[in-house]
Amino acid sequence: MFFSLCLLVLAGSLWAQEEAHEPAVDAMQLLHEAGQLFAEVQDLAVEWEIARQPAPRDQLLVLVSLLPDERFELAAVQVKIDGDFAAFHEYSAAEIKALAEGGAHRLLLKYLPAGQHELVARWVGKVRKAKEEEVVREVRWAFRSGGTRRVVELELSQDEEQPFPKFSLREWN
Amino acid sequence: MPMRGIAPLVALTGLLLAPPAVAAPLLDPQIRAAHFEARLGEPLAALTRLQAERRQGFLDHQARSADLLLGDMLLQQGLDLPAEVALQRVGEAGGEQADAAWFQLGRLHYRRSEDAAALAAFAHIRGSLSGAAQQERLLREGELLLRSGRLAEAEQRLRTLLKGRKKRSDWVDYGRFNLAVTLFRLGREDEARELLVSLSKQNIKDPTLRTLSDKANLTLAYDRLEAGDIDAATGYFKKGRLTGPVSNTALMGLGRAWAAQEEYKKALVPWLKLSKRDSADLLVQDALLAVPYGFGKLNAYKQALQYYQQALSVFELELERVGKVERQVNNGDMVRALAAGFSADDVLDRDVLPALPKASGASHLWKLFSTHEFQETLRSYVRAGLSLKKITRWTSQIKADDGLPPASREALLARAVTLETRLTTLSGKLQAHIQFLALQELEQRRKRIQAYTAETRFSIAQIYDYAAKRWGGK
Repeated sequence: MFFSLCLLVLAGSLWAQEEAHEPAVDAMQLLHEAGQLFAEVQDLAVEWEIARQPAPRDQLLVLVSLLPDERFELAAVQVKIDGDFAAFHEYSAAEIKALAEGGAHRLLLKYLPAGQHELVARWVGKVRKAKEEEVVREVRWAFRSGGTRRVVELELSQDEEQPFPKFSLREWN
Repeated sequence: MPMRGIAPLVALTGLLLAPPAVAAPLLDPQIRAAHFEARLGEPLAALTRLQAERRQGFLDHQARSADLLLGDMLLQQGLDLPAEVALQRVGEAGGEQADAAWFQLGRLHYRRSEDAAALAAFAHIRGSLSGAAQQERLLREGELLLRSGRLAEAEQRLRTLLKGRKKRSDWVDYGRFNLAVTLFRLGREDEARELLVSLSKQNIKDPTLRTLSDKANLTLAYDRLEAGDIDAATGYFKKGRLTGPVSNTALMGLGRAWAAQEEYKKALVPWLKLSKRDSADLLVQDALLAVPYGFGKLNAYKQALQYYQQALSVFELELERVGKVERQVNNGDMVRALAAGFSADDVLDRDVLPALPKASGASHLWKLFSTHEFQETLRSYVRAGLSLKKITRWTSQIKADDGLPPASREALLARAVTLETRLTTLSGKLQAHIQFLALQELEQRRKRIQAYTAETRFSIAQIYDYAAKRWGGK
């Protein structure tokens, strides 16, 4: 008696196996189509980003970086071009941390008419040993625009030979 | 073995966003700016700028570094297709970054169940990756080789993973389990059992280890059951938790072990316990029939009849519940409830499953919900909705963006319109596919319950028939 039932109970796992179906080909195509479309949506954002930027030959991109230095606490960076105020940024603790971990801050992307220009970068901060004393360091850079895109990095780097960190401007090609 | 069920235990992406401080001065600051912005919570803006710079050729002098980061950031945004293209470029170019790119490609193919492509990508790795990445690679490679029947190579990878690892890690623990499975397949059963026994004795406080311990006990139990060592099998079944993810299997197995010894009274204990659980679970449905079967074997026909009738009621109720879920699927409630379980961030995190809705359908479809196809389809459906909202927002912003040249504005708006139409169509197709999968699953359930119902009615009739023959009209 009840042999059929016994088989039915033992066959339970077989039912489970039947339920696990292979992904249908059309499902894979659908997911591929979705992936393609999401990439195109992002592509629109990229094209918009490019469209809103000045033409490459007229671009000046200024980035800020720093290597951790016990001697100087960065508070802000200011940039003037041809005597006009162009950018100023006060750095939060989170930003300083992200910079110290190797990041770079995109401070300024600007259109510049072709010709001769002067950039003045100012680092504002405090010397750690004299907390109250605000220190300003300045670097000047004369350059010509209109031929190629200019990318400059305002670096605050360690210089063990000197009593103070090194403030410099580095151009990338 | 539930090899595919090995859960991803660390974030699938993000390994390459490790601080580049040491190499920073050598890396173009535009690449470092992407790190900076991503770290400060603007990963999409960072990605967009990096893509824009790469597309305009501004990073050609550091193409491999840029593409490697780009690939990683694209993966984090769920943009697998362009990520694959970027990572393939890095891998094929060779050099220092190639191994990291092949690793990312390997896990991408693994996730898509493209086993051969995943193995091929992992095989390109020349050196040793760092820390968790190396452990993940060895575990994945071992699993893929095991699945493809290349057992000796699988064993080699898994032994490398375990070698000299004193500090515990989820990858290594799963590696031990997989190695036991490999050894079973290689016929080296004593070694396999030894490993499983060590896993079964693990720390019960850690949830991962506890689940692995349950799996090890279950595997050992079925191994012993197959070998006819019922006492040992029973012992391992009993070691498993009665509440963990594999507990229903353990309870059913324990009952079967006793039944195989014709110890039906003992078999009834786990089967009765299991039969009181959620009747949407297939093993619970099995138990609903196993219980009266056990009573029948004990010649306790009155109880057998009582439990068959109880099973019949449960199956009828189940059929009603399946019908209700079908209606929820058909009217779109199920898809809406599932989609609502995803936050905008969750949709990008492949480790996150949607919160199951409280609707009764959740317990009927959980198995379907756990499949790659269903999850990816649902994720894409949610994402299509988010993308539509994004396009609407962008359209307004593009119209108001005075800095754009008019021709560019018009071109962007035209593309936005096209994308909006295509996304709407896609969303409909994805929803239809989700519904199709759910209805297919429910139809199988319906057929199964109908078969069980017929079997139950037949058994009830058999009992009445037996009683009539034995006792006549009394």
